[in-house]
Amino acid sequence: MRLLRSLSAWRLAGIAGAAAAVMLLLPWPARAAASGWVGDRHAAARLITAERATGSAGMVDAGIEIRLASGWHAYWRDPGAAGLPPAIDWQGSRNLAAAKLAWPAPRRFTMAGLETYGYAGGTVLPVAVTLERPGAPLVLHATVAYSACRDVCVPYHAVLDLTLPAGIAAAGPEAGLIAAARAAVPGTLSGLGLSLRSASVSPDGKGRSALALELAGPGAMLARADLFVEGLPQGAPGPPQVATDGGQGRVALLLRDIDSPASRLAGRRLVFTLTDGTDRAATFEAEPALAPPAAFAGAALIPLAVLGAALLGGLLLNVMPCVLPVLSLKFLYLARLAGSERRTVRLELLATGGGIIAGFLLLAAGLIALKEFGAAIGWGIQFQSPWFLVAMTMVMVLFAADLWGWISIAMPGSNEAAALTGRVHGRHSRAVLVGLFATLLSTSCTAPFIGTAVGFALSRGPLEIIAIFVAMGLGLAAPTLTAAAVPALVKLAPRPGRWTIWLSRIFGGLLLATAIWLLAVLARIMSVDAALVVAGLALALLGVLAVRRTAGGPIGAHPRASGGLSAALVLAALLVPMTGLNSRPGVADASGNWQPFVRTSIAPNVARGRTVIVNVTAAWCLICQVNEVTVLDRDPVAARIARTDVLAMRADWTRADASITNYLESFGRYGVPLDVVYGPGAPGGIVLPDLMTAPEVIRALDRAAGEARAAER
Amino acid sequence: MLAALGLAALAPRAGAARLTSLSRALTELDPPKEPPAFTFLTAKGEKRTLADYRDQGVVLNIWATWCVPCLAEMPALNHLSVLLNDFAVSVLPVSIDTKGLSAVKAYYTAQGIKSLPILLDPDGSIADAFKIDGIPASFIIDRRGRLVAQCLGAAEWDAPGAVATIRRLISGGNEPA
Repeated sequence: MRLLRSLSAWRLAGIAGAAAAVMLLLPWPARAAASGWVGDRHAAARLITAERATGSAGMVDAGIEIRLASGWHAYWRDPGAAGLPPAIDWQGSRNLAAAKLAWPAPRRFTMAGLETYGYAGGTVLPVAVTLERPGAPLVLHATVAYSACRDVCVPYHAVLDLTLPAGIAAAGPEAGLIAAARAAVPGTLSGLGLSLRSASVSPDGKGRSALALELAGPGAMLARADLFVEGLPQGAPGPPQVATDGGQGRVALLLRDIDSPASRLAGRRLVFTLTDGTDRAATFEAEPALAPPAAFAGAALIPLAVLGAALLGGLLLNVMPCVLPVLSLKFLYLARLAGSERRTVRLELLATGGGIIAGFLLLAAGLIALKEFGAAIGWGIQFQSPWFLVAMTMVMVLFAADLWGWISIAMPGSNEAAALTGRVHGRHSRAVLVGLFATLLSTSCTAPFIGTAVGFALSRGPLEIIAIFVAMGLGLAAPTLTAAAVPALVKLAPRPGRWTIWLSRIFGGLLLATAIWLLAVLARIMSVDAALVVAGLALALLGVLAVRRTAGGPIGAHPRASGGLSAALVLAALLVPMTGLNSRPGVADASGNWQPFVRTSIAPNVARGRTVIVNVTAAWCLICQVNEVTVLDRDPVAARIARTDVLAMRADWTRADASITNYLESFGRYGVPLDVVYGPGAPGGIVLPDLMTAPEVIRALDRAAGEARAAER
Repeated sequence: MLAALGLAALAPRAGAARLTSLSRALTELDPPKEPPAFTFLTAKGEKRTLADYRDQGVVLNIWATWCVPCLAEMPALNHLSVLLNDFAVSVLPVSIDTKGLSAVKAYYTAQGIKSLPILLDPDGSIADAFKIDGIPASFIIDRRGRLVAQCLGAAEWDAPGAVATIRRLISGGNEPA
């Protein structure tokens, strides 16, 4: 530092020497119009003035010069994401009435995705000093606090002194530095031949917003423009996208991904500083008007495409593994009905269809209520509730018992009402229940198109939610309703015989398997102990029903007693979620290649050139399990993810987790699976299909990483 | 037109600095040194010294909210503390912000930093104790309280292998990496 200081003293001496001849002719003593440098080899500051003496104008052109070593930068008045802008305290100065600081236009620095604004190489901040007593000497005493950064940051605290004598205000050697700095201070838009036509802000659908400016004037010079915004509640936007219309005199500047909702920015006074990439800049103010983004135009109507997607998604749910075991019951019941009256068959089918649609209405109502209370909502969130899991387990057991002929849940034409199903009396109550439970179970799957439809619905109001959920219900019920409309189709079913008995046993087994799966999910949400207790109660229920059957046929010797005991067992199971059998809220678990999901790790890793894959999953999401077993946890994807340039993070939504729900919502999703690949080639993320294949995943990983390789070349 | 805008948004930004890999950023001290005496404050204003973390490994990070390289590595440190959850290693980021608690709290909230404690040293005495020029500066202290490694500038704390390196360092080489 000492070495550098003496070098610059030599340089000063040189300049002073060159002016020596002039100075010798002048009657006042020569004074250097600069303080010494205070700082170190990375950064230093000094005070300079344009004039050698105070003159008679009552004004002095001064400046704070900051010298920066190669690679170091200091900050503008708005430092962006972080940084200490120079702060100057003039306390201790004499004959100083006011000191007005000006800021040359900044440039942009980007580190690990953080945008900062400042100066590289060095800068001069011009200071217009007003004197208390014009003509009297000026004593400047400035305490300058600032930070300078390269790969580390250093806070500086420089105390600078400069005395300017009274006398004629002839230009000193630093006059040129200050004049150049003044020229770099942004002027007005009209000074650049531009005028502001409009400023607008619009939501981007991800909780952030985009700011658009439209300028009139010669746009070609703005091809390399940069735009800095002051007055944002938070965040430091990246560089703008500039679009010119090729000579028509219009320029559009678009700043995307601003970390504030559009509603907070609308009407807010913002200060814009526009630089043209050379040395010309302008500062202007604008209050952006709220503008709907083009994609949201006509938002009051539900696009037919979304209703179509809901219908189609519902239809496809019929063949998803979550619904198939329950809906296949339908087939069995129909086979048993073959030969019955057409009217009975038709009513039975309509009842199931009605049950399905009622199930969707129930889901819609639940979600609307949760949304009204401000709770996080999503597709399949009932699986995050232990009560739902326990209730569905018991229902599956009862249906299995029904299939095995141990009990009878309201057969059409049967007079026996089930004591165990909430005393649902009615000729077709079993058919309704099949539809209802099929719907509730169906949400553990997401079929193609379901994500789109649910995402749209849940971001809207109650009417849209109901309309779209009913459309999905109609889709899921379509095969049943079609059969009801054309009962002749049922006649195509084979005649009941011994095979129906065998099929009943198999389907009963499938339902028990579903119950076991529900218990496995319960083990993850509560604890293994809780799942074992419920399993014990379910087995006891099966036992009671079996004994009831062997002891005295379907009617039973003591139907009341066994019915009461069964009801007690179901009730006991429903009490389990209220017990303390909860394991402690899980510490995010890492397994294999997968690390726990930390959303804030995405951007820095991408900025470092790594590829990031995020897998949002849940134990109750069957499609997620399929993806993991067949694609993600198997080569070639597993081998690719294990590489050091890939960060794989798994977000487990088995239990409710607000941060994961927020992440899903940022993609307009309200359900799992969601798999996203990020990389230098795709910092915004590539969303993988719900049901993925290995080549698709590898291609996405390549694409996310690919552009980085091109850029390195 | 839209496609062109989209491509422009995806294009990597020029000048985007990347974090140095931990193995390159870390300087191991052989033999280990005695760390200087230093104190810092918790969010509640309680005084802490290294003695409060006896028998643990410590990753001490000196940072400030106005320091961009510090912010660049903070998510990685947050992630590291999650990864070190089970290994008796404390990740201690001590902020030298003169504004203290309010500045750090606002940053943690905005960035969703949940796994790191708020620790403060508003007068920067910790930077003087370690005689450092700039921040971020990080120091790894082993279970016996010895300074075993240091790192000036931001590093990729959650890189693959980082946990193994830190476990090896804090165990004084007694534990296989």
